[in-house]
Amino acid sequence: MAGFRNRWRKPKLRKKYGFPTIFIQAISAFILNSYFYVFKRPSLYQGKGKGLICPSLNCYSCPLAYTSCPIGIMQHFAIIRQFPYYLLGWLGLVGVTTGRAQCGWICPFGLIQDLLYSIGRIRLKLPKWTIYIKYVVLFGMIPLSFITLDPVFCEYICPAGTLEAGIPQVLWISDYRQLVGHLFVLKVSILVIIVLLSILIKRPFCRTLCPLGAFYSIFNKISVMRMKVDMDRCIECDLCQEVCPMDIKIYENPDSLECIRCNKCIRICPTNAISVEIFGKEKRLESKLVVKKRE
Amino acid sequence: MRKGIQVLIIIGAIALIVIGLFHNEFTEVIRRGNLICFECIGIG
Repeated sequence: MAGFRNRWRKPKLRKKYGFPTIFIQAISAFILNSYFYVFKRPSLYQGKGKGLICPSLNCYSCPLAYTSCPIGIMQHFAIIRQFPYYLLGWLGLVGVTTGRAQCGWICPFGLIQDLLYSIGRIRLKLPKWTIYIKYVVLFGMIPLSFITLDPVFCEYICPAGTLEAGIPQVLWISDYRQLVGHLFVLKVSILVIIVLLSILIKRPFCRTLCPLGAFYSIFNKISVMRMKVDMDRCIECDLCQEVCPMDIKIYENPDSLECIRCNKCIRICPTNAISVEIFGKEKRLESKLVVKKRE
Repeated sequence: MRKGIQVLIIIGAIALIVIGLFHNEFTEVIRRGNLICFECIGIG
């Protein structure tokens, strides 16, 4: 390790490292929200596609959405007092195969936060304890929905729902505009706070509030797709943390509950120390970073 | 050990999906997804 430390100097970051991830995130967001027929008849998609549960947070009341939101469905089953076999089976299957990769590759709200952070100039860090709030949200919303018969997360918190469904539906359908009240103001305020924080902090919603991320994170330690760090090659330059949307040092814990498997750290690593492991087989991607040898 | 747990969870998850389909949960998800969620849009 010391040898590598002496031979490489910390390179300057280039913006290209995040390109494939953002490209795939944009395509996923487009595919999940591509019901353009809605422009002929304002409402939302109503068909069998809604029986499919989106692996990421994507509001089913978004006029363009083809699939159902897993968190909305989870609360709905709590309200109707029915055990959600299909939902838990699906989320378990997705979680055990890829861990939190959906957050890094598919989630439209994750993409929005990544784009907002890329325009910011001032950088702030989140206190470490805040990452545990999402577990309180996950394990609190189900009994609360069960007791109050309301989807509490969707109703009082979800900024993705406000952005993808609330604002477009209210702007588009005049009848809904008559019904706007304190709740809408509260939800828009939460969205504005999250948007402003996203400019300053990496993915504040995913790291602190997202119950779906909390659910998938439980699978990170046992998922088929995992990160691997060769500590003999690692020079602890912390470039991985600089590009990481979740602000983690992957070499400290490759199975971190926060890792969203976006692979940005693999592409930036100057010594190719980070790789991805699928079913125990190591897949090594070449780093896109060109570093100069110390003279 | 890890592979064993992975296989067990995958089998369990597929079993849960099948049980869910037998309980008509797919239809229930379609029904819920087809309704506009007034809580989600903040006017509930």
